[in-house]
Amino acid sequence: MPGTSLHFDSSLITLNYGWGWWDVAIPSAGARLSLHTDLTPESVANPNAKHLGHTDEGWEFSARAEREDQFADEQAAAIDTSITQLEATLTASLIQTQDISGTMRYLTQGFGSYSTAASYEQITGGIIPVVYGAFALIAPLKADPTKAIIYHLYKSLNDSGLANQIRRRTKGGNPVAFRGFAITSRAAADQVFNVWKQI
Amino acid sequence: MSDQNPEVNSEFGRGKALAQERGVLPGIDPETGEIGGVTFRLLYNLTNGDEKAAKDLFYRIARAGGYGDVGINQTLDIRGISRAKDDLNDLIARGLDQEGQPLDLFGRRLMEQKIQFHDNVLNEVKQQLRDLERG
Repeated sequence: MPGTSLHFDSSLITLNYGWGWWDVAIPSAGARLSLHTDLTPESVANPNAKHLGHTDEGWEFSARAEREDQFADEQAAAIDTSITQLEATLTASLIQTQDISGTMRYLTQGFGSYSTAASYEQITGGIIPVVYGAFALIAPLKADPTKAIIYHLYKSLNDSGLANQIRRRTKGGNPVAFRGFAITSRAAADQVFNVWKQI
Repeated sequence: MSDQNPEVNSEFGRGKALAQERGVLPGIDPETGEIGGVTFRLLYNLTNGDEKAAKDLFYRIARAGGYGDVGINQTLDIRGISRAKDDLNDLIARGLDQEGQPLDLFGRRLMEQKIQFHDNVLNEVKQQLRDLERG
């Protein structure tokens, strides 16, 4: 009887960078982010997309359902569970922290207002309405760099705000954590994010 | 600023530069004139500043396309709708379901329903955009 093959495949190991894009478009029901062939967001479908630049150590995507286990007196182990919250985040430490117009202004949902004129760019602080945006991390595949794996939060904001490090001896970074929120009225299984790979 | 713009040497950057050069609004294909991405700002321009009409149309497109209860500042990807339908048609042509398994009668009916759904979505969104073009 032939055995079952082991699923070792080093071409499926993640060993490449990703590009983080703020304010990409939201896909329709059952669809995915539109990309150009060079794996940047398609510019007509994503007219407001903005690449946030370099990171210190790349990105991390996390999606987790918090649960509350249910118990019965007669049983020692939990008998059921209910999902109380779905958390989805994309985190990194951005290092282009002197780019106010291109990076910092997109980290201040709910409190930062950007403006510019001939001689300055600035962000002022004060409470303003929260403006959500979709965030996508596009990472070329190790096995085929003409294709990508995409992590896409449909409605998000940066939980970490502005946390610039200003120092001489090492790079100053700004930790970011884009947290996904649900878009109601979408299909229940597709309200917060998708992760997909081009094949 | 353009020499500091990380997107300037990408197809994304070239697409945006072409749109600017041809004077088309963001969201409109500079080569075909088709609307590929819908924003409230685009609709505001196309309705000649009619804020209420632009908002109503934005939400109608969001509902028609299954985008959900989207915030007024976000962008709706129109380009992707037809691709979703094409993906499903391609699967049926290859005799596979969405899990990559051979199609049986149950799977085929499910796929046909999904294709019909995407067809309806595409037609409804196109209808909203046609109404906009007709003014």
